[in-house]
Amino acid sequence: MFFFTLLAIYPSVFVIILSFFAHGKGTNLSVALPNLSNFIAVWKDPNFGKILSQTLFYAGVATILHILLGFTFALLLNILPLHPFFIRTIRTIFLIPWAITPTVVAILFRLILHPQVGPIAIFLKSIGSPIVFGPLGQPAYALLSVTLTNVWMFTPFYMLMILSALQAIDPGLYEAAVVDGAGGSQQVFFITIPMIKNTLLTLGMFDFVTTAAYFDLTWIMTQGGPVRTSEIIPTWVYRTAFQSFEFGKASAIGLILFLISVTVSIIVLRALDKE
Amino acid sequence: MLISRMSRWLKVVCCCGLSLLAVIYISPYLWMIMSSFRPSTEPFALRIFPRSWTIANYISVLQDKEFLASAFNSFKVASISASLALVLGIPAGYSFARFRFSSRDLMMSFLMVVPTFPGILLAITLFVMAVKFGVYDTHYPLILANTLINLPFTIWNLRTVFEATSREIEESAMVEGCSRLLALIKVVLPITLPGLASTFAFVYILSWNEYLFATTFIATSEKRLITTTMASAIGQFNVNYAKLIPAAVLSTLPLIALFMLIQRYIIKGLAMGSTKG
Repeated sequence: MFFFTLLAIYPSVFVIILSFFAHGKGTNLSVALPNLSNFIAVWKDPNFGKILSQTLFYAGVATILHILLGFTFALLLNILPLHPFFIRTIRTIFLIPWAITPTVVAILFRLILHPQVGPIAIFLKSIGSPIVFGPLGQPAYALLSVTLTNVWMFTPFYMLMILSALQAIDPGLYEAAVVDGAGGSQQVFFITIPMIKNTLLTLGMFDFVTTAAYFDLTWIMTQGGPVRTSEIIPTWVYRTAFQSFEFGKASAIGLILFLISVTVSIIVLRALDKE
Repeated sequence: MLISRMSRWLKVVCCCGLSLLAVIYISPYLWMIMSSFRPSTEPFALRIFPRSWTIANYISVLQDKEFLASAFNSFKVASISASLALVLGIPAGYSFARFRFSSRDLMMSFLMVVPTFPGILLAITLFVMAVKFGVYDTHYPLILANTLINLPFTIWNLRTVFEATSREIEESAMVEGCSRLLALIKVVLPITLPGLASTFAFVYILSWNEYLFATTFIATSEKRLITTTMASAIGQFNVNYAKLIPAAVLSTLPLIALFMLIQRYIIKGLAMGSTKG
């Protein structure tokens, strides 16, 4: 446990030090007093606002869709009175995308969305459509494509989480509601959703925070391109740290991301505490 | 249950509908599997099933030294990380399950917060550390990083595993003269073997899937892991699809099968995190 705490705390302290002290290239700490020049450099970076809003879009849209789709699938699996074995099998099949290596998911969707070899593009060509289909290469659609890929990959996980929350609801509540004459949709809105609201909020928070920091898919699918239209903070940090070796600035960007995450978490936890 | 009764026909319709939905949902992956069997003369045709099936692609992948080497590297890193996570996680998970200490809940929620720390920041720190200690471009920082990021889940899951076993068994062993440690090793661990094995397998899968650290810490191509090898293959100008697709299938299918086997043992641990956190 001690070992773990050490390992968890040390990196966070270290990047904070880096962000305040390290300037320019490399990791040499300058002996100057701690200052905010890295943070100011990030703030003044012309791309900062753009990348930040892209990150918020990516994480926000993905979170909303994860929870919405996950809830729908979970509800379907939970309410239909089918054979438990069948339900378990379907659930397992739904889980497959989440079990695939993220790298392979990225490769898979690069192929599917490929303008020459992808099945969608070939299909469009075969029916003589003039549309050039290659969303990953188009500035307007690249970010959206990556976001939807993320949705495809991670919705199963949230479905699973919501499903186990649904199964924890006392069936007596529904029986009582039926006695009182509640219809199906009324049961969903007045029993199911209030009962799992806290789980949904916690999941949503966790989802937003982890998606905003999620690097693999974006990097392999688009590398943040074309012309940085799908760049999000993690890929920007990576680029700054490992391609231009400005570790101080990279740490500063990363810490800004972390601050946003912490703020979101605190807001959600406050909302939960009010209950 | 919201719906308690349904006619038999409606049930059949629902079954078909759900199955169809599930198949559509995973169809991109099915497409990939189908494509891996296409002969390279007919690479990306429209039809769902290949006109002629071939396993030539698989044979060429299995003879590819780069693929095999990186698969072996991934195997090495993932199994060592999973073992380490288990060795460190068993005492921690056991203490969380059995002992009451004042900071227990605080520490458990701290474990929930840790995964929200951006991995990319961890990568920077570990990169700088690795360079300083001269272990850059070796597998050590990778093993360390994978153990570290998977430890919170390991502890959470092992806690639920240990909580599910009854105290009486180990207590009776302790009455017989075992120390607590001996009771843990000789009595509790054998009973919880399925849970332990699943935790191991899940951490193994996660470490195998890991990309960010693998691409950060490794520069030499012989030391690359499977994820970085594939990612660099798709980044090239002339992508050899006939090799890449079977490689992707080969590196994922076994893990998916493994995942299906173990999922019921890890769901509880995962769900606990989301409802209690």
